Amino acid sequence: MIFGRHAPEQTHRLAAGGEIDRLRPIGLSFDGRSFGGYAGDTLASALLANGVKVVGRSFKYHRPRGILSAGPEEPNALVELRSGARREPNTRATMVELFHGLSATSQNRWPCLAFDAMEMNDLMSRFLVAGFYYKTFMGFPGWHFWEKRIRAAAGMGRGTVEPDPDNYETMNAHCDVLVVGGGPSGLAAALAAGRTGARVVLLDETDGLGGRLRSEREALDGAPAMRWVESASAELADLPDVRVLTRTTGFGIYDGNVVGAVERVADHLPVPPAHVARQRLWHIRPRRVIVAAGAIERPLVFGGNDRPGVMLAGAVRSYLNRFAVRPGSSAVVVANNDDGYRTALDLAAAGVDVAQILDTRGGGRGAWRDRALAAGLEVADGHAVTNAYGRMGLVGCDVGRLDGRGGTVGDSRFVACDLIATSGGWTPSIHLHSHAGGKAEWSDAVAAFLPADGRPGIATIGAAAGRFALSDCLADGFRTGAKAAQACGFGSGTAPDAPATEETATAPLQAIWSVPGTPGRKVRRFVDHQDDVTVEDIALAHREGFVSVEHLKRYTTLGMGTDQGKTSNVAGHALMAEARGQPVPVVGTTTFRPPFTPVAMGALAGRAAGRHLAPIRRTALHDWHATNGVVFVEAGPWLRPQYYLQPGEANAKEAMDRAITGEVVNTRTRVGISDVSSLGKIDVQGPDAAEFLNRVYSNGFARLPVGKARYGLMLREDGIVDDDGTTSRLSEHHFLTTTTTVHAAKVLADLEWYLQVVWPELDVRVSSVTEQWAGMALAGPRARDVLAAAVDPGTADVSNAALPFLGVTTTATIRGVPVRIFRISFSGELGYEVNAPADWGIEVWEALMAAGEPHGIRPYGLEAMGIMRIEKGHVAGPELDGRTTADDLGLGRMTGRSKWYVGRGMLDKPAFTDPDRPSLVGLVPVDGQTRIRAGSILVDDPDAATPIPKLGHVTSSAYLSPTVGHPISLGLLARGRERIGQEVWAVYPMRAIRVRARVTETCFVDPKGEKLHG
Amino acid sequence: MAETATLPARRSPLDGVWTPGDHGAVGPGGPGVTMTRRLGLSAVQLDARAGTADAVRHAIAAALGVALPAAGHATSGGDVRALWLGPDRWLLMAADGFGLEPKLRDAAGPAGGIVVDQGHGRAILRLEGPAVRDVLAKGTGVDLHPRAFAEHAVAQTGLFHLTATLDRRRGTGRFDVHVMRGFAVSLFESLCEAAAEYGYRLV
Repeated sequence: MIFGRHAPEQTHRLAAGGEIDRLRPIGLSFDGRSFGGYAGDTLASALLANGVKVVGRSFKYHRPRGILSAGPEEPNALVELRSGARREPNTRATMVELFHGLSATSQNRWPCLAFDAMEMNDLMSRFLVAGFYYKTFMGFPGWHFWEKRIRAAAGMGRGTVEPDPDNYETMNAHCDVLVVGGGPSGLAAALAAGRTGARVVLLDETDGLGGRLRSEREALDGAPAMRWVESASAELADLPDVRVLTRTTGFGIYDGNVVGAVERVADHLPVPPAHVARQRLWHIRPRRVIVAAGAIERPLVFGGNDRPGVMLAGAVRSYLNRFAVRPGSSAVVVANNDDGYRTALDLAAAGVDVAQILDTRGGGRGAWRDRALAAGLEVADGHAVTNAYGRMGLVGCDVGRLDGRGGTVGDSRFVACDLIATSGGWTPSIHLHSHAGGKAEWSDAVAAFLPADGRPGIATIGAAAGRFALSDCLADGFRTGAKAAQACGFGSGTAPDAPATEETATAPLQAIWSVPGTPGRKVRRFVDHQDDVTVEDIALAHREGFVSVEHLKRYTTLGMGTDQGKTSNVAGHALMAEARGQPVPVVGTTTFRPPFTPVAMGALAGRAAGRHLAPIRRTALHDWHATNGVVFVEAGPWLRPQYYLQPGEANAKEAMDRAITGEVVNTRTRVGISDVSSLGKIDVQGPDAAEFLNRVYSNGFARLPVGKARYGLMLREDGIVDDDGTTSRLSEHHFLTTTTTVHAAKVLADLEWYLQVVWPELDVRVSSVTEQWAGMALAGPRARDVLAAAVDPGTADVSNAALPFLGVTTTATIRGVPVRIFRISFSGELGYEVNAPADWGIEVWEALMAAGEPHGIRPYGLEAMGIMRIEKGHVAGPELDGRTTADDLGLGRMTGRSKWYVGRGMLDKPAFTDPDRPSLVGLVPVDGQTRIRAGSILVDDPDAATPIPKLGHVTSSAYLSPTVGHPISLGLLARGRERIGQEVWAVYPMRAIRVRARVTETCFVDPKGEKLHG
Repeated sequence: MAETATLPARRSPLDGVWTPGDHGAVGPGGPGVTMTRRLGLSAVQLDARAGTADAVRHAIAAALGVALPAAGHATSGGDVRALWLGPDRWLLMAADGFGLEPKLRDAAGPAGGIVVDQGHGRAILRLEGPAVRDVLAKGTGVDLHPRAFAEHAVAQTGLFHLTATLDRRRGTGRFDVHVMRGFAVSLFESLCEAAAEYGYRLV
């Protein structure tokens, strides 16, 4: 697509003025058509410059809709932006900055924007009232059939299903004063605070500072106001501790006044530059927050007020003054406040024909009115638009005279126009104040809720506090900024002098929540444009008893769109108040909750996606495994070797089976080595270390000799088995305790708890040394030969006599590296664990591999380790499941009664001594070949009437024990010890599997432990 | 411990991922962050048993010439840097050849100190440069502004997903980051991603 060349003229572009850069044309595509715009445009302003009126279809009735606003409140102009993996639904055209090659698509229409088949919903609107779906479809069969179709008809945009190609990230910031909003109030606050030397962060959601000043023809100190904005921006940029973030929305205030903000770092570019995130989520921790978020204009609610060409008056001025766009050629202005006159004057100044200014107020006074009359504009006091016409673009409207009692006087007359600028007053953006639990207080003068009684440390100022005059905004900003800085210890608190304004005095507005329709015509008056909620829907909700604002919201969906009712909530609630015959503050308002505007999930996730969803922990031997055929498996955060492929072997199931079986057989018949670095290692030192361990282990440790290891069992305080491992006594007051990989952190935390809280009198210190040591398990009949060959001569004697089973030596070195050697075994073979300082781990591992080569050494992974421990009947994670007692696991002999220890007091409770408790047994298939899956349920008769009594379950399973030649499993079985030799059924209903199993002893290999001691 | 001369070279957990040179969007002004691995450092944890903190403090000052720091701080003295890790717990560091662990054991042991060698259990990265605070701020909520985190300030905190120790060294924008050895690659990847937009140099 070639942009620009075939694009139509920008028929609605003004010849001069605005912030756009006419030297930098930018092409865009909307619904496949090419248009031209300029740098500085938004998608909305560029479409308007090209005379595009209709940009979307409404949510429910599929009515053609145009652009209502020029800001974040836009309810209508929602488009799908970009395409492919970057397609983003429901972006507001008013907030999308133009970039080269921008491509957008209208949404919620089929087959195209001009002809939408679902517009029949609009013809049926008298049936499709609020609550229609539930009243009609729920309660009779087929709701789920209809639900899908209703959801499709009431569509929003389509997201992409492809992975997001861009990055998002998180940033933390701290400051003394955070200012949210870079309009005149916020700029003044940031200046006043920044000049004191305080650390200041200033946020603005647009691409530049100035706020409404960018859109108004205001003067400061006798010059255009934007000159002052420029010099203020330059001054802020020079202050070293001030950070200005544009394109950044402060979307919520959380506990401790932490402010969440999202910075659209690269959304204004076709694609993010290399190494730059698309969006950045800021966690800002300020000491003081100044909310200068401005206000949002409300449209008047009149017949046909959703027609393309009806626009907020303030937005009209934005398009004229900031974007140099004429939103129409002939305008009617209708307002309940002086902004109507201001808008008409700007329109006239830009050469737009102003057909009429309709002032719903009847007073006929005021300086602004005088200025409009002086400019020769036609003013109709006490008049309003009673219906607007033009399905695909405004053609005119009926104008009627209000009788002040909800009706009109006399005949209405038709006025031709293609633009209606409307203002129903401004709603202060008190969202952030409300997020922090601040109260809202109704103001008749503003006809909106103002911030009251807020959380300490948060000040809401300027238009966000209902103070709309420029001089008030500047004064608020300078004063509040100086005070906030002073509260943080900076400056004297004296407000700097504000620049002089040249303002026209404003007359009070007069609230009017709905305008009567043209007599004799059925008019559609939209309160909430995005959710298609009309005045009549609110009346219906009232008639049907949904009279609280919270029920009104949920019944009609008022304010539930992506715009969260920014332009509609106040009018909706006021109309309910009228229906109830009560004042608005009695009826109340719904609660604002973060975020202020939608935040992409990607921004919330940041970098914590994909491989960074959780950190990966690598053992000290990782790099060796990685170059030696390993297949890794995740074990908690750790990557551990699962098995090792032979050189050139692909990772297919046969290769895996071959590898695992080979590793088991090799270890049982020759010698194997495995990485056990991830086992928790806790250094326990102090004069009371032995006493401490004796209290946390259920078996005795007080008299463990120096140079010896012992297998230990830890119980929870409720007597359930917590963890197991070995503890070695390295010297009189120095022990090394090991834990399972999974429980390492928890056991350390428990030990700290006992020392700090339970037994502070014990003089013991515990520290994790898991990462300090690389751990290697050497196992198999030839393990001693390998070790003897690897240990540097003269440093340690590893003979059976010098280093018997459960012996420990700390004098050995291997290739000069000091190591600790523990004669312990998980596999049931003659085994040693060698610990080496981690940075030398690979050196020692390679020394053992070299020494083992003549003996046929092979590394083995977790699968082989798991099979060998099942063959030995050793318990592991699946058995230590937080429900089993030592007796259940056949470890009752380790829970002595001759001392006290954690959990002992609970061991004699009846539930623990119930003879029907499950106990650990071995299980083998009667047919000698069918695997008994872990998770299978053990029953006597799978064909019995349900519920079938459960006897237990299978905890661990080896699909083949190479040592015994058939599948083996471990399980917990009621009265299991009594059932040894009997048969049960192991059923796995998820896969309709049932296996006849014989109950056996738990140990399938070397039950007397001769290998261990040999 | 065996003779140092006979020991093999220590391997860094980052050996497999460390590619010296400039990476990311390095501008004409040079990289925003320069990262150096602090290799060949011994690191030993020292605990003072209950009631022995003063004695241990005196013993260490006399033997090693370093004053054990107060909470949230680090000190340098002699050939040793000491970081506060917790109540009555410090981490002391010196070059491998210094023989830190035996010296500590001799000096602190009689005074009530407990010594645990941790030098192989952690990786230490030095980060410096104009963008270093922004890079770290992407991963930690600690306020790193000089007013809040002055020279020789120490924090044990979350950094990206991990637990890390931040040690603000002398000079503007210079931090030592300690992380558990097993997580070193994960942290390194996160730091590189965070630093890429400013450009970074691996020394």
